[in-house]
Amino acid sequence: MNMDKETEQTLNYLPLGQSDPFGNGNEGTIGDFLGRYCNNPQEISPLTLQSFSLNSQISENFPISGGIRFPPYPGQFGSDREFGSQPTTQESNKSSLLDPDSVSDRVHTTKSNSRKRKSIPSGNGKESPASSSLTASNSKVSGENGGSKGGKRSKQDVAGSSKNGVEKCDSKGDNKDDAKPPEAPKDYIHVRARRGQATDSHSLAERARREKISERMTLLQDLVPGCNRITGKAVMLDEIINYVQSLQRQVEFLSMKLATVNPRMEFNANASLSTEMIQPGESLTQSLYAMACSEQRLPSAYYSLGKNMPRFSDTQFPSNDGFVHTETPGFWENNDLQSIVQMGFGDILQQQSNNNNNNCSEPTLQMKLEP
Amino acid sequence: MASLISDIEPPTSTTSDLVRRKKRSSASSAASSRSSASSVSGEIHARWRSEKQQRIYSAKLFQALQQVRLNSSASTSSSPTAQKRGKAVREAADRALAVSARGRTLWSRAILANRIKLKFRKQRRPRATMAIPAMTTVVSSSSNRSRKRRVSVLRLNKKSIPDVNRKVRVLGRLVPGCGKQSVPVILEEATDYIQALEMQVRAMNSLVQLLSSYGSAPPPI
Repeated sequence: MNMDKETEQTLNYLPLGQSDPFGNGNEGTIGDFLGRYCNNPQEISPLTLQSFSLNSQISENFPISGGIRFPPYPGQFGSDREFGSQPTTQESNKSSLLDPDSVSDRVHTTKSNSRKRKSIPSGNGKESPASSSLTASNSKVSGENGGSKGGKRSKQDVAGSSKNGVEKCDSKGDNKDDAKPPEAPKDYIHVRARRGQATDSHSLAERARREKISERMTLLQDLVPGCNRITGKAVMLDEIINYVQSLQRQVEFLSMKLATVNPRMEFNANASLSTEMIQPGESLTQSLYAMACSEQRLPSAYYSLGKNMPRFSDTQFPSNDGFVHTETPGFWENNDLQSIVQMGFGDILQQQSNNNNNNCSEPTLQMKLEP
Repeated sequence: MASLISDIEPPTSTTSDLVRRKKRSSASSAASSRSSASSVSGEIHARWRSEKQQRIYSAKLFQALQQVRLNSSASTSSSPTAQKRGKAVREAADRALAVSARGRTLWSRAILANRIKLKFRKQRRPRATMAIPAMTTVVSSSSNRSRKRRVSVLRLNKKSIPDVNRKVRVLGRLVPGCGKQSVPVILEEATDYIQALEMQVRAMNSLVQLLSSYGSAPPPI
């Protein structure tokens, strides 16, 4: 009944444009004003008098689809402008009491435009201000008019949901970007540690052990020749094993060579013994070699004891000889040591000539000693 | 809506912070490892590749060889073979190397310990009392048991150990005294042993050249 009365009143009003006192009375009452705003869309939908109304409906349809997609945002802006223009024309026709409402509407429209424009470029950074603006707009709508702006509320909700979807897509993209680069160069699957697992005591100890092993491997890599370009651990270990084996073979070969040279040296060894006996300074060496001579002179009955004795003495002799020779080395041994050092560090012909000189000097000593 | 947005934001920030922290920690660990490696390598080079160390080792080697000659000359009646002489020379050379290392490393201690064990066995064998053979049988049985256990352990390990660890075990067998040690210890001992072997090879080469040139002199006499 109320609805029917209101419609009749509006029909009466439209043809009677000139009746000022009736119009003033309608504007004065707030209830009548609310009724008119409710009636306006109803009149438009059944009558369909103007083509502009059809255009407005079509524009309304587009923003709903535009909320899901990016490019139709300007369509929404157009629809907002049309809605803004219509109430402004009506209010301008009416009295000045509605001016603050029109001002608030304009501010509302400008804010909505600014929000939508800002939301597109900002992306992730300005999520919280968008939510605050949405809450402010909701409060304003509830404060002003409930029924007439229900459509606007639904539109804003759709926009908010579309924004949330956009943000979720952005976040997913970021995660994918983080995950992709390590996977592309590596062939194997990269398994990440769980939360708190990386700082576990066992994993820390394992990490320290791996660091220690890698340090040692780098040191070995520096030692072994031809191992600098190799990158795999297994191949590097193969090279190291081969190098150690080759060094051990060299030592064995050289020791056999020294043993083969040894029988010739027995005579020279006797000569060296005689020279050391002649030298009066070294009492310890004399006593040691006297012991050796006494061992040689022992009868056959004590021969087994003789075998045992030098084995005991082997542990004692090297340390004693080491101390003695480091303190007061003999003249002959000095020459030999110098020549050894020269041979060890320099292979130049001049040094070889020096060695020849030493060799020349040594037989002269032997010649003197023999007669 | 606001609650959903707030839930979405924090995990992204936390993950980014964790990634940054991990990168920083990895960089710092790399720097520390480099510094420690440089210091260790400097020490090792100072040990083995200095002229003083070379001279000391060559002197000790020469003395050891003299003693080997004395022993061989003393035992000339028993007519030792060339192989035995070679082994004796090598043992003397290794002993001199171990003595020059001064027992700082496992391989040097292992060489000296093996030498002492060999002497102990040789001394015990010629005696012919009743109590001693029982001791020898016990020793042999224990050695057999230990050998069997080692074989079984190796067979089990061959199935499960990856290639890198297997090769490190092979290296451990080459270096004396490192058969049962862990991987970083084997690698450390191997670095020191390689440098010592290099010095030994240099010294023995110089000795061979010296003796060969000196050996040519006596024939005119």
